[in-house]
Amino acid sequence: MAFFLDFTIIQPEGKYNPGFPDTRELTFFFRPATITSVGISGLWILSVWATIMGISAGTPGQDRRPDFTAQLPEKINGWQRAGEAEFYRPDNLYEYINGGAELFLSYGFQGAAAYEYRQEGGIEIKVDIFDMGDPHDAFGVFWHGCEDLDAFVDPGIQSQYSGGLLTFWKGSYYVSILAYPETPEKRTVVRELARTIAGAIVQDSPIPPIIQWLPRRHLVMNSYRYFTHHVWLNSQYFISGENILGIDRKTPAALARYRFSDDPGSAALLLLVYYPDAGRAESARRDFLEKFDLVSNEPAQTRDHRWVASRIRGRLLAMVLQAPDPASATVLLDRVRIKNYPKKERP
Amino acid sequence: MKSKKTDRRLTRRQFLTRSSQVALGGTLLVHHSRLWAGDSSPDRASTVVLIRDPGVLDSSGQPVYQVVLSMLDQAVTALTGEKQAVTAWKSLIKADDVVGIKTNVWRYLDTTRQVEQALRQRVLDCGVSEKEIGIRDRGVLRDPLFQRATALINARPMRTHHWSGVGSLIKNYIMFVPAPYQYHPDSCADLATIWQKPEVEGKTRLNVLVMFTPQIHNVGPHGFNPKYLFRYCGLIVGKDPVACDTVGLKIIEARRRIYFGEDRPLNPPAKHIALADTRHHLGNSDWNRIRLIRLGERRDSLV
Repeated sequence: MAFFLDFTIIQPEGKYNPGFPDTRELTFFFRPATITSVGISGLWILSVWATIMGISAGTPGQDRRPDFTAQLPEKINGWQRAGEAEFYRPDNLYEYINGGAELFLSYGFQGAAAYEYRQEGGIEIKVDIFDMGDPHDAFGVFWHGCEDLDAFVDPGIQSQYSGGLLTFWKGSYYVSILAYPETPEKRTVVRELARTIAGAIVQDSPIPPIIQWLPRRHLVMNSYRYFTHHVWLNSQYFISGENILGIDRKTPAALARYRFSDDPGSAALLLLVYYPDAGRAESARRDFLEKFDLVSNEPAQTRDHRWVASRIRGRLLAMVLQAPDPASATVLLDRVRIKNYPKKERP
Repeated sequence: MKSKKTDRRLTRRQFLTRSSQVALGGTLLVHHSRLWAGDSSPDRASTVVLIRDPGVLDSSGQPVYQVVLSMLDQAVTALTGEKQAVTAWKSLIKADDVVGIKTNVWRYLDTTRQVEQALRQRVLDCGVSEKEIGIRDRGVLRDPLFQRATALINARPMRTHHWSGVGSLIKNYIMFVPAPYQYHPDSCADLATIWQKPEVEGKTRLNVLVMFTPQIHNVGPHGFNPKYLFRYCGLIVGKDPVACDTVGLKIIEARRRIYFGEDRPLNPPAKHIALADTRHHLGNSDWNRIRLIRLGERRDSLV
C-alpha cells in the first residue's frame, strides 16, 4: 500500500502541537472512589465529557480538539443515534471493554467516547472513539491489530475494514466502527460516519520516528508494530514473557518482519528499542545476552538453527532475531538508519 | 484435578533457563510439553473428550439443539467411562445438588442458548429440581443460587483475547471475583487463583469448551471480527479445565498457522494456562499428561 512507504506526512520536530488536555489534575479530583454524591457524579461525568472533547477550561492548545458529539449526525440513512454517548477514562475503561482495556492502557489511553446508531429491530452500529493522547500511540494501537491496510475511509488515512468492522487512526485518535452482521447498507453508513469523524480531526498524523528507522528493503508489507509496553514484544514471535529489554513508556520500540526471498525460511525479525540514554540500551543488551546464554555481540546461533545479532547505536538497540544466517542478520543491522533524530525522549 | 501435593514446579531460574532455551527456538507455550517430557506419569493424566459433528450448526450457523444434546451425552459417557448417558450424568450431578451453570454471554460469541439448555436439561434429568438450577455469567457473585451452589458446570467458547491470549475455561470464572481487573497483571498470568476461592473451589463437576466457531484473532476494541471465526463444530469436555484449555489452545494455534501461513504466536501468549499447571496446580497442561478421546469427525481436527 502506498501509505506504507510514504513517510512524508511526518512533521518536523517542534511544529506538531497535539494540544492534549492535562488530565492528571482531573484524575485526582474526579477519581470514582472520591465521588460521594450525585452532584459530584454529575460533575465528574461533565468533566469526563469535557476532557474528552478537549474543552476543559484553562488548558492551552485545546481548541483543535474535535467535538464529536456535535459533529456526528443524529440520523443517517435511516439509522438513529441512540441515547447519550458514553464516556470512559483509564480508570473505568474496563467497565466497557474488560480485558480489551489493557491494550489501550498500554498505549497511554486518555479517554473514549462510545456512540450507538440503531434501527428498528435493535440492530446497531457501534462507534468508539479513543483518545490516545498522542498520535504515535494512536498509530501503535491501530497497527497492533492491522493485517490488511486499506483506504476505506479516504486515501491518506490508514484504515482496515473487513466483515463489518472498520478501524482507523488519525491524529491522536483511534476509531472503531462495528456494524455486525455486515450488509452493503451498513457498509455505506460506516464509511460516512468514518469520514465525518476523520473530518472533525484536524491534527496531523505523524508516524513514530522509530518506524522510519526500519529499513524498507525486504520489509514484509504491513508487518511492523510500534509499542511502549513489553507485552507487545511478542507480537511477531515469542521472545519472552518477561520484560527482558526494559521496555516501557519511555522506550519506544518497533518490531518488523523481513523476508529475503520467496522462501518463508528466509524471514527474520528486526527489533528496535530507543532508550532514554545509552547506558540503558547497553544494559538491556547485556541482560538479553546473559539470559539467553549468548556470549558475545557477534551473531549467535539458537537451538532452532536461526541467528540472533544485536548492535547499539547511541540510545538505540537494534536486534535481529530468527535470521536464516549470520550474513542476513548483519545486513539488516547495517541498514538501520536513524533519521529525524528526536531531541526529546518522546516526540 | 491434580493434587496440590504434586510438586512439579519449576524454580524461577529453571523457568528462565528453560523458557529462554525454548523461546528463541520456537514458542514457549506451544512446546511447553517438552519442558516436562521426562516427567510423564500416566496415573496423573487428565481425560479430555473432543467431539465434533459438522451437523451441529445449521445453514445459518446456529447450533442445532438435538445435535448439541447428543454430543454432550456422548462426551460425558466417554469421559466417565459409563455405558449409558444417564448414568454418566448422574455420576457427575446428584439429585440434591444446587447447580450453577457458569456461562459466557459475550455478545459476539457466547456459550449459546442451545448448549446452556442442553446442560440444564441433563441436570434436570439427574433429578435436580428446576429451582435449584441457575444459568448465569455476570452477576454470579451476587446470585443467591450461585452463592449456595454445591456443583458448577463451566461452559464457554474459546476465542483469542487481547490480554490473556485466549478466553479460556480458566478465565471464565473471573466473574466470581469482585474486581476482575485485579487479575490483569502480567497478562492474566494468575487467573487460576480464582479457582481457589471458596465460591468455586472443588465445585466444578464438568467443563465444556465450546468450539463450534472459535475465534483465532482479535482486532478492534471489542475484539471481534467474524473474519477470524472458523467453523470447527466441536466441543471439548472434561473435568480438568487446564487440560481442556490446553487442547483448545492447540487447536487455535494450529488454525492460526494455517490462516496466517506462518507460525504467528498469540500476543500476549496464553501463559495463564501453562501457569495454571506449573504455578497453581489446577490441572494438567502437559500434553503427555492429557488423555485425549476423539469422537465424531476426525478431518481437520488440528490436534
